[in-house]
Amino acid sequence: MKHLFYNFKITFKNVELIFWTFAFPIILVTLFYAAFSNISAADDFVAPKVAVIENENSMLVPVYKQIFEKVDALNVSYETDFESAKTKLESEEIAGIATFDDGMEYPKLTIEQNGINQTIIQNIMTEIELSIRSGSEFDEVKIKNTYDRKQEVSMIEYFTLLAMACLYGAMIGTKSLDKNLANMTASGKRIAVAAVSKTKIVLGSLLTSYITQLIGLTILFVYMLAVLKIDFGEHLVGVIGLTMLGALAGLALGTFISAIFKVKDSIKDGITTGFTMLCCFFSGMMGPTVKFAIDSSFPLLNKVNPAALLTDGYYALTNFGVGERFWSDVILLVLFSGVLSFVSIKVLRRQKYDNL
Amino acid sequence: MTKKVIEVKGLTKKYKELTAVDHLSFNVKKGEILGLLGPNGSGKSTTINCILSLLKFNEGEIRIFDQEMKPDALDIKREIGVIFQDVAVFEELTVEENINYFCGLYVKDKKECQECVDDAIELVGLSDFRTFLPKKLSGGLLRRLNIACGIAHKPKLIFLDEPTVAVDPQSRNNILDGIKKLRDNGATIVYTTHYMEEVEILCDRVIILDHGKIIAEGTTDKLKDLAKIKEKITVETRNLTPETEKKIESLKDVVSEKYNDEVLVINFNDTKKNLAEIVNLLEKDGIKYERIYSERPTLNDVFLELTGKDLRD
Repeated sequence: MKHLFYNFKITFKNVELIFWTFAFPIILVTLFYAAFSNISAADDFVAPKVAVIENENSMLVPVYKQIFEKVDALNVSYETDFESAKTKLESEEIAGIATFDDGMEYPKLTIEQNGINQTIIQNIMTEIELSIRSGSEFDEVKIKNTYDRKQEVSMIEYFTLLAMACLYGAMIGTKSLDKNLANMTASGKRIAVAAVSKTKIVLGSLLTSYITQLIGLTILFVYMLAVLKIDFGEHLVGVIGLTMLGALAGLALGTFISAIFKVKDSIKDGITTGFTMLCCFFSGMMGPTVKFAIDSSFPLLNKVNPAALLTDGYYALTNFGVGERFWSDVILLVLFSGVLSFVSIKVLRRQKYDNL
Repeated sequence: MTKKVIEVKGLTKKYKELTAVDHLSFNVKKGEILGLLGPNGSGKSTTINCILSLLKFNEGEIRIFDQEMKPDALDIKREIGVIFQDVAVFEELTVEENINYFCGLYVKDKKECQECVDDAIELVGLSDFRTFLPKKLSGGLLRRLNIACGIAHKPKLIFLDEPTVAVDPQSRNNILDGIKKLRDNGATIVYTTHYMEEVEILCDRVIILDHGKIIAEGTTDKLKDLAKIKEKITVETRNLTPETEKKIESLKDVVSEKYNDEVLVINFNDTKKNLAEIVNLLEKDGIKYERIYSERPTLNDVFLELTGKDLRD
């Protein structure tokens, strides 16, 4: 217990670490909130224009046509020629093109830019696709109204931010483990020669890191819910559960980086921050269309990207509830954490230094 | 027969092509202070790290308290204290908390641990700094804290790796007194340093390492006897002529002489009447001098002769 107390004290007195893991997400969410507060009002919403390329050979076109009639969040026009639609897309008359090629199970979406309208089109198309895939009748397909659409765009950004906050826990994990490694720190050398089981010391440090992360995330949640009044919908418990799993994934990532990379402390920090930011970028932090582009072109990439899994998990949870998509994200996150932890444990258990 | 606390047999440690420690064998007896000397890169720290099971080695056997030393030998580790060259403390914890943290890795009983912490603070003279953070301490005080963290649990075997580097004279005296107290309390100590005067004051026995091998071993007096130079005469003079210098060089028993910056140093391989002979010669040639004195060779001279390097190189 004494060592856990000291571990907490060491962690909480590390100003730089606490800034990046506690304060930075709060600052960023405040900036996001300020940016999105202008676009959340329903009265200035204009449904994005999308061109659907007609194809007589596709069975999907009539199905989608009927659904599009019920969707007021999209302004759909029908074209016969892709090239003329492409010209309109390039001149920004429309925001996207949906094509129904022969034999394709679902339409292909073409966009030119990264923005709110494009995100709205992508999300609606994804929802329709998921509803059809799940066997719902097209008149049962629930497409959200225009106001919800605008909320959704900001929610995706908040989700990527939550994912980032979870993965930033890797920094706490790295620092916490490094202080026990003889080839990383002088204190680690001292701990390595002490009469204490390495496993106990490492587990104690990781427990401290996880609790510290949860404290940081709790503060972030309370700020988002109580101060910014962000509504996570009816699945708040699920969102919290997924965040706890995300924190675990962040910790596993930090442990992995600490165990695998035999480099200076500052380089490890760079690897942790760089990897986390790259994951968040691919998951749509700088614009949800990035995630869409990755999902379309390299679907496997976001299946191993913890930030994308978290963002998708939050999205699935708040839009479709606890279903197949949510559980798929959860399972992949557990696998991600498990594999990294397994490799880290193997490396740490076998670690006997060649040089110090 | 004196009990062996450490037995090292045929220890060999290689870093790819480089043999850092080359079939090293030595013992450390109970209650002694063993000085481990050698120029930088001679294998001192590698040897200590191998003994402590921090480094894996290629060949050899290490036994401590008559048991094989392994990374999971917690019973042996409980009796060992280590003071590394780099200060190993947490910047976020106070002096007392740091000692308490590291002592707690050995002593589980809270009350006993606190007593050990109090004793260690008193031993290194940090009573007035208990609540200070390390960044508020001077270099000397920080070194004392480093020592307190390593010995608070009252180990029977202590490794001190250059504990007085960059330390002010007051702190150095305090540290040396502390080490003597530890020895008086029955601890066995392995001590590495660059300061010969510390070796002469503290160590019962010295091992000189170079290129991972023992090149000399024994008490300080025994090591001094190994030196070819038996007497060193220093003359401070401004007007030494080349003719007189040549005469000195050709004297019987002179091993070498060097005149530099108005100081003449003459090394002899015998101690018979050298001073009188030099005084006579200088007076005969009309060479005036400010000071002339004779010394026995120091451990540093022995070291220089054996390794070809100064200890601080």
